[in-house]
Amino acid sequence: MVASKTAVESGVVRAKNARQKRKLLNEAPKVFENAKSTIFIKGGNVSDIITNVFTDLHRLKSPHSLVFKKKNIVRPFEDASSLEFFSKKTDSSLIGFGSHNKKRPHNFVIARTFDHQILDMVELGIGNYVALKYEFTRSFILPFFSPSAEIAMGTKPMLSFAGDAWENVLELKDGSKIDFKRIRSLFVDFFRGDTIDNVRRTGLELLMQFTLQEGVISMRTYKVIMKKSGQEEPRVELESIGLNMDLTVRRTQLSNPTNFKKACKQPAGIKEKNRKNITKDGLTGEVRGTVHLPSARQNLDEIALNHKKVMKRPMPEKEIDSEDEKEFDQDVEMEEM
Amino acid sequence: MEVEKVGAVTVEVEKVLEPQFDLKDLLIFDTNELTGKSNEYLKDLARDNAQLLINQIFKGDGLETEVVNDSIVTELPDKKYDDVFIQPREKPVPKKAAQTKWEAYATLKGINPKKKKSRMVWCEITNSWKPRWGYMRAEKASQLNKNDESKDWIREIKPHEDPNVDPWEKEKAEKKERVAKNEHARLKNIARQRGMNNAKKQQDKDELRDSFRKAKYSTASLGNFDKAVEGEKKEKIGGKKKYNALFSKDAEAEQKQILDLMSAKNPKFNKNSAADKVLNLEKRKAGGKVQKRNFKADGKSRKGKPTGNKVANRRQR
Repeated sequence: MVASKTAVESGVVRAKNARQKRKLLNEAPKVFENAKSTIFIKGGNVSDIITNVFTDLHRLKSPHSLVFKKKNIVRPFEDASSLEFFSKKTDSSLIGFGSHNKKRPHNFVIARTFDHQILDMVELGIGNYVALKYEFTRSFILPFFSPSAEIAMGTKPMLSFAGDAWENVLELKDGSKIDFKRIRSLFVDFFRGDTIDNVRRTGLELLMQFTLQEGVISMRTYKVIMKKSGQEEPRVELESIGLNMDLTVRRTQLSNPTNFKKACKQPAGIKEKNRKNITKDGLTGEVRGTVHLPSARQNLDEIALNHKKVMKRPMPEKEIDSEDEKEFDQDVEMEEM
Repeated sequence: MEVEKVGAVTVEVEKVLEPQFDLKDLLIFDTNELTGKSNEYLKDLARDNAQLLINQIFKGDGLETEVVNDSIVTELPDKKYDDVFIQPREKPVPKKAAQTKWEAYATLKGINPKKKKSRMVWCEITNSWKPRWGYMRAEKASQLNKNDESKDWIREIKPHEDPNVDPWEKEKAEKKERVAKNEHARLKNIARQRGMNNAKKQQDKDELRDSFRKAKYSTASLGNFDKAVEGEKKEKIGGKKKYNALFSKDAEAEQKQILDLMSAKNPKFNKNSAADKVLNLEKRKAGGKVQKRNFKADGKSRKGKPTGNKVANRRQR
């Protein structure tokens, strides 16, 4: 499963300048990986729907996306080697391949690679396609063409997978099986975008929902509008912005569990660190920890509480006003003796 | 799964089965049964799921929030690596680079790695900061006079040096040599690391086969009636060693065979080792000690390395 190393990768051939070296370092295996790039490739014959789908998805996924201009006569399910070659050359691990013929109209193949070798592939038939909405704003001063959604490029979408069929393994008449859990994982990989550490609450604008019913995945995209609800959590409303399609699952080529497990292997330090000695009080919401004293139990009788000089000083007198009440909470300054 | 709209706006959503969340990737997996197909139904479902997901983020148990440029930012929890949410990587996990020959020696001797030198150095001559190495480096300034001419235009030939050798050419050649030596050492390190990777695999394989054979042989029936695992090759343990007759029964063919064997490029009959054996036999008869060929502990012989004894024998002859 492991691809053989080229002379460049193995370090036999050196990078000639800093730019080449940077490229090698960028493409080398890392602990924290880059965002997965996608390449959209058109097959021998392509329909309008496919072209538009590619345009929409490319817009959603840029800058981690590339659309090939020329047609490439590839049959992924027969020989995916040229797809693997493209993956290697462009350093992309997600592939979208589109084609159109009588037998398989509006055919869309989603594939992901591991180490530039095909890991999983799903063939889908696009139906009921609604394009991503664009609005032509009529303005005499500045006429411009912008998507009505006004969703910023690179927004991380929220993904919702609904339906009990996602947990099932479907057995076909010829004995082959379709593992929908794996397909769900593939969809997540394809649509999730970059890994982020923080999210701006107001930036949660995009939602994509995938529902599975009778072998058809309905994809719907919405813009999320958050309204005041009087509580901390906002009231969520949705606006249809297009990019809807019904994807009929056709053929699949999913890797066997051992290969998948190999690909899922994570480096040692990445798993969630077990934060010890932190408990949250469910009632009050306080975060608590236990202080462990080095010595034996404190003898409360012998704790020095009498700091004589300090304790015998009189407190400065102050009239209690609504303004002065604040000062009671502050530390009272002591004059130096 | 109905949201109550009793005049007020609600953020509550009821579900039969609790959906699963992975906030790092903003995922919600809802495994409740679907009860409709229309776009309106799907939109309502999406709204409910989005509400649940946003509730999770806004409520944020144990999630840190801060205000950055007038907007509230929530820190997302770590990615879940359980069966449901795990995703394959793009490339395999990077392997730790094995130690180079120098690094191994340094750790053995306890030599600490050199401290990194700063990139810029103060150049007294130009009164400016210049790079320590590379383009416009500091030391070059010291080699140029006021008119940007090289100070190194003349060199004294020492008594032990050859006057016909161009010292600048010599310097260039030496530098080329050093660079080539460094490159050679680098490639050797890579080759050794590759060799180690393969050697270790083979060693593990051999060890495993060895212990398997031993375990098989330890049974009462010497492993003859053991149930074989699927794909397991039948191990030949013990048994008689087959010797192919060096010479055939036919007399003429026999002569031909001997001739062929003796004149063959890779003879089965090794004249040298046969001669040695004969000599050793004679030595033993004479009562002398015969030094055996130097064998490795595992019984494999050292190939291609002549032992002292063999050479001595040849000399004697």
